[in-house]
Amino acid sequence: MQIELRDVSYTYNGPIPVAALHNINLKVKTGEILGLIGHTGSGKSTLLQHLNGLLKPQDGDVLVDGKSVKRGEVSLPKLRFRVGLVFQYPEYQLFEETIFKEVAFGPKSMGLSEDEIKQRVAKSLSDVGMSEEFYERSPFELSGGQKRRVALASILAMEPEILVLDEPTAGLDPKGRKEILDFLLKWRTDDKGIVLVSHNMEEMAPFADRIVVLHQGKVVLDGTPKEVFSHTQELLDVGIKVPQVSMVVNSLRSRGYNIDAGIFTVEQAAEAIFDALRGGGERRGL
Amino acid sequence: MAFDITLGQYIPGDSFVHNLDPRTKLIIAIALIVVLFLVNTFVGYFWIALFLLLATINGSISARSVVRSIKPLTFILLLTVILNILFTEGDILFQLGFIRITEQGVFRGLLLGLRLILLILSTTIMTLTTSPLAITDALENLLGPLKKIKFPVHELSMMLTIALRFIPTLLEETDKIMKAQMARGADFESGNLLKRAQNMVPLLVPLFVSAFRRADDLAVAMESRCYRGGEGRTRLNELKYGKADYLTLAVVLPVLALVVYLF
Repeated sequence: MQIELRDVSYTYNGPIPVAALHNINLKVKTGEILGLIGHTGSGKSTLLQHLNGLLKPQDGDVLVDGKSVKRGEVSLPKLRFRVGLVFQYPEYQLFEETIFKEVAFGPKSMGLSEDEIKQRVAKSLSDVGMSEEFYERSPFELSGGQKRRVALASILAMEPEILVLDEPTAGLDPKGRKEILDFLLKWRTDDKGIVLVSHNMEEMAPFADRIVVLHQGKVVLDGTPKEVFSHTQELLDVGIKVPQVSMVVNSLRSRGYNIDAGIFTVEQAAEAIFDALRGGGERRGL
Repeated sequence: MAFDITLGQYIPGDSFVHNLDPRTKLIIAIALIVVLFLVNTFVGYFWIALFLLLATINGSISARSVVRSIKPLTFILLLTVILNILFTEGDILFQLGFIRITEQGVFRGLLLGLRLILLILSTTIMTLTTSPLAITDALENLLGPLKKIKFPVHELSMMLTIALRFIPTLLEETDKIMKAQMARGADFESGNLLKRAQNMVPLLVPLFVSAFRRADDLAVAMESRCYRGGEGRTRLNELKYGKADYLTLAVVLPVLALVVYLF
């Protein structure tokens, strides 16, 4: 599955109109983890809502496997099942009496059979680590992290091809954060794609295949983590916190050490610095 | 899901009208409402309309926002005009079967229609140029004397302030939850009335839960900042009467009185 945004612009009309997106060109496809980065107001959430047809492009078009959303060639309800959108703080959307019913809501609106629903609920709840004893409990009794996982399961139960998550780790403790990220890595296969929104580069960098940086409704950078992180200054300019290692690497480079620019994990940095000091690391230009 | 609600439609600006003390604007708005009910001639309404036009231009209020403020009341407006035109006794202008249109009817219909429009405009100009918070401040201040008879003025205005403050928040939240549920296949737009009401459950439950959570958070936040009612409470922005306010009141109120007296 592939979703292509072509010259998409979007403006919120109100007493004071706010331009949220400006000529966005972006491709999202299965088999890839795409990291979307931008600080508050950069248009991230607006962009996400274009991916599953919650918002229709005012200008430009969204193509799903080549079919135009604007011209009505795509069934929006079906698109919403194929592209699972997990909003920020999804636990605030819980409403059912029991966790089972909560997770069954999506599959039910897809019109699946009872058996199929049961099977999907069981699978998605076990995927996020919720055992059977929870099924008949109220989602409102759970802890914050558990609620978040139930909300995630409620989207997974629709078995989307592309999973879109808006800050899925916001407000969680490090353990809860790791659980979610580990789960996502496990979930992704060649025929599943993930779009992950975060403002935390450090968290996202190690497992995104591609990173897109949004600023004031425009795509500023688009490339592999390596490429994106070599643009430290541009990232800082648009107000994005760069991983500390990247800062270290960059300031070493500016002092003439022969180190690769696109380094963003501590392990890579350690190795590169070690190499630079040992072998090819005569200080250049000094 | 655009929520086009005119409440809280304040557009910040820096005009003479914007900068007036909210109490001045409130007093004038109330005076205008009273005057509009006392005056019964087109000439009188002409002068009031002229005054409102001046205020509109000064506050650089766009024609669009004026139209938008009248739009929700189009139905009532038309109903008033039509009913009055059709059912007023008097000299017959035109007759078709049982439908009888009288001279007095047309006059009354148009007059009442104009009255409604001017009433809406008088309050709209105030709400467009004054933040809701400033209006509640003004209300609390003007109702101040009622404290003597143990009327809970401060509590009332605090409730009003909080309610106003949370309207946009709740709208935003409604929008968000609606979208989140639509992403799970919820359908808010089709089906008969009963089905639609049922479909609202996934929206209303989370909305109530979050409203209660917010109320709880707000109560704790207020208490932890030692809020204990209006007694001896000071404000960050004291309302202050300036020269412009005295001048405005001194000019506008007599003029309005004159309009009532003459027309």
